[in-house]
Amino acid sequence: MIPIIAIAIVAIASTVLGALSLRVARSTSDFLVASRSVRPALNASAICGEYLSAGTFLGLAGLVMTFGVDMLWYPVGYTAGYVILLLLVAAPLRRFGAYTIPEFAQGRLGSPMLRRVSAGFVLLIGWMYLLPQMKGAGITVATLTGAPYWVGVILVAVIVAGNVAFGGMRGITFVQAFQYFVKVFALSSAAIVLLIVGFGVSGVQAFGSNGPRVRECTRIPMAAGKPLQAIDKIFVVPGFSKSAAAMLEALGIDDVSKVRVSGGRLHEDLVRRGAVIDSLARNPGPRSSNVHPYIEVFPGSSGTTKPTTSSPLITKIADPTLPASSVEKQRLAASNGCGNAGSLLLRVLPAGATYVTTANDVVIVPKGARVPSLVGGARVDGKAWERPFASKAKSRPHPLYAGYSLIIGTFLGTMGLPHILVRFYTNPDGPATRKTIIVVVSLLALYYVWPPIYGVLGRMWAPDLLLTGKTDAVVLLLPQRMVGGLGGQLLTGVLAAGAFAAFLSTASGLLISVAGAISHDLAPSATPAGTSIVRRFRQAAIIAAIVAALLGLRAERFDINVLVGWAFAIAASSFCPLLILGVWWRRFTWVGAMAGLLAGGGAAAVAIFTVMLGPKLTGWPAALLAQPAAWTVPIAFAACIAGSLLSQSKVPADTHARLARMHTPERPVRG
Amino acid sequence: VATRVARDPLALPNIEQPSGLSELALHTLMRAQLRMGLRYLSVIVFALVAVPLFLVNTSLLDDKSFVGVPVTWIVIGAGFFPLLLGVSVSYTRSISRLEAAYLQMVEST
Repeated sequence: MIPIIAIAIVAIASTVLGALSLRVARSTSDFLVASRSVRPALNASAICGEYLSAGTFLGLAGLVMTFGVDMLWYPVGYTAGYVILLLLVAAPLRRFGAYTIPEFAQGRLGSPMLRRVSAGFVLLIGWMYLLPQMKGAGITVATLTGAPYWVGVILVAVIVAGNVAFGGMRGITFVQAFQYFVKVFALSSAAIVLLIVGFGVSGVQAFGSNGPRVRECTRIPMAAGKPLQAIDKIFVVPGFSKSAAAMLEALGIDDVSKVRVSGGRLHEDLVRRGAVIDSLARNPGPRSSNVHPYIEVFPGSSGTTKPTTSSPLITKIADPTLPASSVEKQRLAASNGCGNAGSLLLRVLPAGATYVTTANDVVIVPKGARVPSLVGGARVDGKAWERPFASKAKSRPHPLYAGYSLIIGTFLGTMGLPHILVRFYTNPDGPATRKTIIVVVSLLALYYVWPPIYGVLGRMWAPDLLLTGKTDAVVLLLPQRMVGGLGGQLLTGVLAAGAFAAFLSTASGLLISVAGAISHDLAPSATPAGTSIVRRFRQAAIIAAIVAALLGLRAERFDINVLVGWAFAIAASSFCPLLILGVWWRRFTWVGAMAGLLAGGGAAAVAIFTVMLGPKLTGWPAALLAQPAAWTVPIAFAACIAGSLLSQSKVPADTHARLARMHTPERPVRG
Repeated sequence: VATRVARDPLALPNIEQPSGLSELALHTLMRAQLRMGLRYLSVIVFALVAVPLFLVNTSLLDDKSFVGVPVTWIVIGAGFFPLLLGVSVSYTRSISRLEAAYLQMVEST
């Protein structure tokens, strides 16, 4: 309940703040860039509020938990991206005075077509980046309330579309700054409490433990069709849903006379096959009045083994025809934890054994055992998890290449994010832009130290998520696992509020950029009479939100922060060369820029779509396509330069004036 | 000289104003600015290239830990931020000095 209230508070506060500032948002300038009157500290908070998305609030912890130390390069790249922005791009771009990348492209190189193609990449990057925000919202609402995945997706899409369509950027500046503080407070305060609890209970055990070991006997409900490989000995309670014959076969029971039944749907069927009717069932006494129907198997039946020597002589499974929740309750009651799990009918998977799950299977991992891995899964275990670039997983090949490519993509991609650049125009001039970036780097550092802590704690306290694949929810699940009770509820509430702040702020910023690109760069210049610019922007925002929601509904199976990394990789391969060469190279032409966008950005997009939609790959193709930036960024630069050199007649006549505008320092204001 | 003019954000930047800057002066200014940016950039690029290589090719940090956390985790997860902040602050100071000196030179001529 508390987490739901917390989400509601953040959602309502964002809407109210946005609505209040609606009253001051009158002109188009107010609407898009907050009239350039925002101070560096406030602007930096707003930039961070917009930048810190579901990717780092939820996704990064999940990745650290799964893949270990190599994932720490994400925050390094995310932060370093601002520094290269500062060193090469920020102040000149601010002086130039274009509001968006497409506008810069046309303003600098004089090609309306280049502007449209750039706007196309804004849409591609913007929607790619909106996907993980939608997924974050979906799993947050699902984790906290048990609602279906789509509820959160639709919720965030509606709130953000409303805020953006009616508040514009002015509203967003205050809201974004507010949301940075919500995020950093939530993540740090909860992490400190969890660290104290975790350290107090057990010290740091995640490292040196050679794999994710469960702290106590853990039952993991599984989806069907997952190929498991046991690392230590584990047990599976097969989820029976079919016939008595199927059940007997799944358990490998060949002698049905050793089965004793006490009612339930399979009762008659089993008895007909020769099972024994339980005496309790025949003479129900007071003790059995609240005993569910069950099936027992006498010892000695082939194919089943008891997990511990102290287990009872008979094994027992719940009647599969009962509703799931009561089956679970009965199983728990019957098994009394792992020590006595022998009272359930189990399939034993010795170390190294493989097993493909069927519907409703429950995996039981005894205390101290390692969570089984998925065959072909990319999870990193043992020493490789804590040591840099040490992964040997087939589906995660060439970790050093992947690391460098990730660094290149995030380092160079930041400047190409459409929703970040527009923020810098809210600075009054070049020097203020630089100050803003310094504050941004500090605020990011203050934030990025926390998410990996959740990943490490998750490895210790929620390793079962590694098997179910729901690692993106680890931040939200840890408080209940580690603290529980009211305290756990409160911490979950704080984290849920922070997570929602993350989706709302990033999604708002992205939606402004996407809607701006649609309404202001792509739309035909001849507008129907009576359609104001603001109205067009609002329509575009609503359309963009609908597309984002539809895509978000299909994004559940991708890791949040991996999606974010892909958006960065496309940005690095398209807009980074355009911006750097546009600011510094006098021989740059629109032909070169177009070649760079299409070759670099196109190659990155194709690589990523292949990974998302294509068959599973291994070896070098898998590494190159999953982290394309290391080769697509050089392609983009090469195409820009080659295209420009081949089209020197297209160098804009006023290049000198444009460069002068970018590079001439402002006169300090004399007081 | 660049000016701050309130304008319709949907219009393209107004480039018509004469810059008053000769080809050579602009070239010199841009070279100085770019060189300074690249100098600071090289520090970061060096760190981003060298640290992974170092970590892969040495076992020096293996199994070294500080309050239970491996040193490599601390180096990557926290060590880069002071470097990035330091570079940002230092660059901003230098470039401000450079641009102030340039303005002074322009005004005195």
